[in-house]
Amino acid sequence: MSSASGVRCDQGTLLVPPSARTIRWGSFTVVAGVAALAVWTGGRKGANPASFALPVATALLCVWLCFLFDDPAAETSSGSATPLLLRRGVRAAIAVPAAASAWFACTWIGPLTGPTGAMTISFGALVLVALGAGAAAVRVVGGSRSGLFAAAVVVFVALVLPVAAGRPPTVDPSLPPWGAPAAYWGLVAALAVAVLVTAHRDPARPSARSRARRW
Amino acid sequence: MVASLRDVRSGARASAIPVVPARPSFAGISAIGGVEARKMLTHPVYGVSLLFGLLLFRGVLGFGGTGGSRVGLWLAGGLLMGAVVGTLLSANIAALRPRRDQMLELYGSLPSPPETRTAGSLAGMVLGPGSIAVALTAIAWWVFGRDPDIGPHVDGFLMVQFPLAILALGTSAIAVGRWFPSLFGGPLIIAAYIFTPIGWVAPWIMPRSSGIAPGWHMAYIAAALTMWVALALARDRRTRSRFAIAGIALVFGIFAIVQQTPPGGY
Repeated sequence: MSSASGVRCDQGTLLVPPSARTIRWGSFTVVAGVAALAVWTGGRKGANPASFALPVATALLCVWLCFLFDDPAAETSSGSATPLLLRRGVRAAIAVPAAASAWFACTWIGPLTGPTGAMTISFGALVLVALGAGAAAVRVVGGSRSGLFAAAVVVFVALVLPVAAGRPPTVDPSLPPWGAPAAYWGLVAALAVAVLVTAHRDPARPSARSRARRW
Repeated sequence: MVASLRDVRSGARASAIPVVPARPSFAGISAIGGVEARKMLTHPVYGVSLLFGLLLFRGVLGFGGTGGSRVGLWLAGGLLMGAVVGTLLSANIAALRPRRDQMLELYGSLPSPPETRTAGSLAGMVLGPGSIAVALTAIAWWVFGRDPDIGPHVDGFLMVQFPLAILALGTSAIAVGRWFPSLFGGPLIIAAYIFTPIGWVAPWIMPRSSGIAPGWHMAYIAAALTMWVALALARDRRTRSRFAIAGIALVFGIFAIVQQTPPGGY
């Protein structure tokens, strides 16, 4: 058991450089720049960027994460012995800290004085939504088109749903459409984790129902 | 050394792909335009944008869906809002499609001039999302005109700006897609319009009551359309004339922006 986990650890370490090479860093630079510009513009003339500009910047960074599993090398690496969960885990371990750093930097622009609890929990939930939607979309529509579908889910959760259902209509993470911020974003995160886990099940492995039927 | 350099130069010239002197044919452009129009309208991004437009406009209006005229206003405004975003995103994806489908080499080997693909995408945008924009504008004109709040501001000058702005944004999306081959191009155009001063310095849609100079505003939209078309086609063949047209359109567009602005601002 310990030797198996050691092999996985070695595989993960070896996967870091090729995974980092295939992540779209050029797009990340542009997206992070536009996110920072959005927050800076949203904070001019006494306006509060936390209520509109920062949520949009958060959505932009999460849209970039939607394309994380849209990996051009996925077809090649799917034949390797390294499990899908480990391969994607390595990609997420590289990309999510980068997105989180850019988002954290955005929370200090203009009149903002760092992340609040509602901002942080909403960012965490949207990251999970982006990863869950990306993984599910790869399974449903295939690798080359999955990012667009996942991006639509993130835009819906982050911007469209709060404006359409909120009273008042706002994208401010501290004023969610239903309930308290922690409960609302916690529920969103829980649903995203459920989708993420389901989408990472090994397709070759029989489901619990079919295993029970066998008994 | 000079002789070897001369040899290299003449060798390079001899082995270079000859420049196609022919212009793209109308039949080729219209055929690709028809296919692209169908692809743009049936792309999920277009449908999802219309749906999101309806949902967002419902929140903006802040109503529960009661009252006939408010429902009409919601449907017309929401669909127009969705058509703007949907045209922009689907046109950007259309410009990226040959690259994403790894068909660039195949298209490059066809006897038609390289501009045919880009011109076909532009024609598809006019035939597909452009036609939908005209139809939606006609419906919105009737609905907006009956609304007591915005009815007094509605006239032909205001309504003609909707399809023109949609076409201009779609053209910019195709040009950006040709020069910046990434799916992030479309969302970045939207973010740039919302979060940079360009949105209020050079607005697309303004009523006559804002004090805007109508003639100069139309001139600005025409200049923007010309600039983006020239830039999109310049990606296929970088001729001086195309960059010159884009440059002149840019200068004229900036001049028109200055002229259209009322003395005290909007």
